[in-house]
Amino acid sequence: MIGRSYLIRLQHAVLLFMWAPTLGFAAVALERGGEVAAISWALAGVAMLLSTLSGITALLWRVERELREAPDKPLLRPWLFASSHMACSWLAGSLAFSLSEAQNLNEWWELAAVIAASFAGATFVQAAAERILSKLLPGTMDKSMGYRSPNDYQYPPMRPRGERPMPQRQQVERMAPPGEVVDTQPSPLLPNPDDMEP
Amino acid sequence: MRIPHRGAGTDSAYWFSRLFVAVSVLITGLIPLLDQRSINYQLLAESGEMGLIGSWALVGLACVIVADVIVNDLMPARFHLVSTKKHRAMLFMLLALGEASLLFISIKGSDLSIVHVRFLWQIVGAVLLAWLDMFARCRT
Repeated sequence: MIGRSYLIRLQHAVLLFMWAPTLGFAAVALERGGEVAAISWALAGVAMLLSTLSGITALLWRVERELREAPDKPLLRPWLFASSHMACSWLAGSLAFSLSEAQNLNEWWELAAVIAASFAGATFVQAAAERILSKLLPGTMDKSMGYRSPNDYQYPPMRPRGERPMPQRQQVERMAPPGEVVDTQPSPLLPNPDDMEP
Repeated sequence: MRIPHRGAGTDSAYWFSRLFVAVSVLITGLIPLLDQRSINYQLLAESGEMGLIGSWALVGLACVIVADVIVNDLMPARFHLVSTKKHRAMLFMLLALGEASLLFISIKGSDLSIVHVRFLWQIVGAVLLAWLDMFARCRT
């Protein structure tokens, strides 16, 4: 049986390396555009800041939804939860920024592309991780792990008091088999209740 | 003005911080709209009218947060804005995103200057308050 830690490492590797081909494509697209675009470091830094903020927004939105659906549910694997969100947000944002710079887009389109790509990347990877983890691991971040909030339990409806009595449990007497003598005398080992002082 | 405390209409201890950050962003957004000689206006005017529209949007968002603080924290308990209280963390993250957007637009047209440090500081404050609100909600 494959251990959990192995699967978690595997999923980490998948999450990290699934973006490598797209970054390669971005580098190729930048080179095909003629000369590599001269990107100022301040602009790239602010684009990363935008990507970070967009990823944090997606993360908080998800946590808020979890709290709304099940307030008493503990958040499982928070490090995986946050790292998948933020890593994919950064990667999607950097990809969108690189492509926008290569295509010489208007600054507003570039801004919208970075924010939307970061948010969509974080949300998409979160949904994909949920779907994959619910099959691989018994404990995931959704309800398939077996957790149920108290509102999910279905109790039978309570009967109104005094309307109809609940059926009482019938006492089943143990019948002696035929031929067996039933000793009705009290055991000498047990104290006689008449002799006991109040 | 009565200072609110727990159980007297407020459920958050950070009401002044929220008011401070919202008013600070409100002033930052109003400066390019009201004073055309300001540095903020010159930074945003290079991107055309969209920069000023974004500034108006930021002012509107800051006004919503100020209204949230006034109604939910300072007024008596019978007055409340449920939707802003429910999505307070999202409002602050939108505020930080709006500030970062203005920062991006202004840096795109010019170089990094000391004026942009103010934007960065307000972004840090808004994100911190969003996290604090989410932590407080988890604790309760």
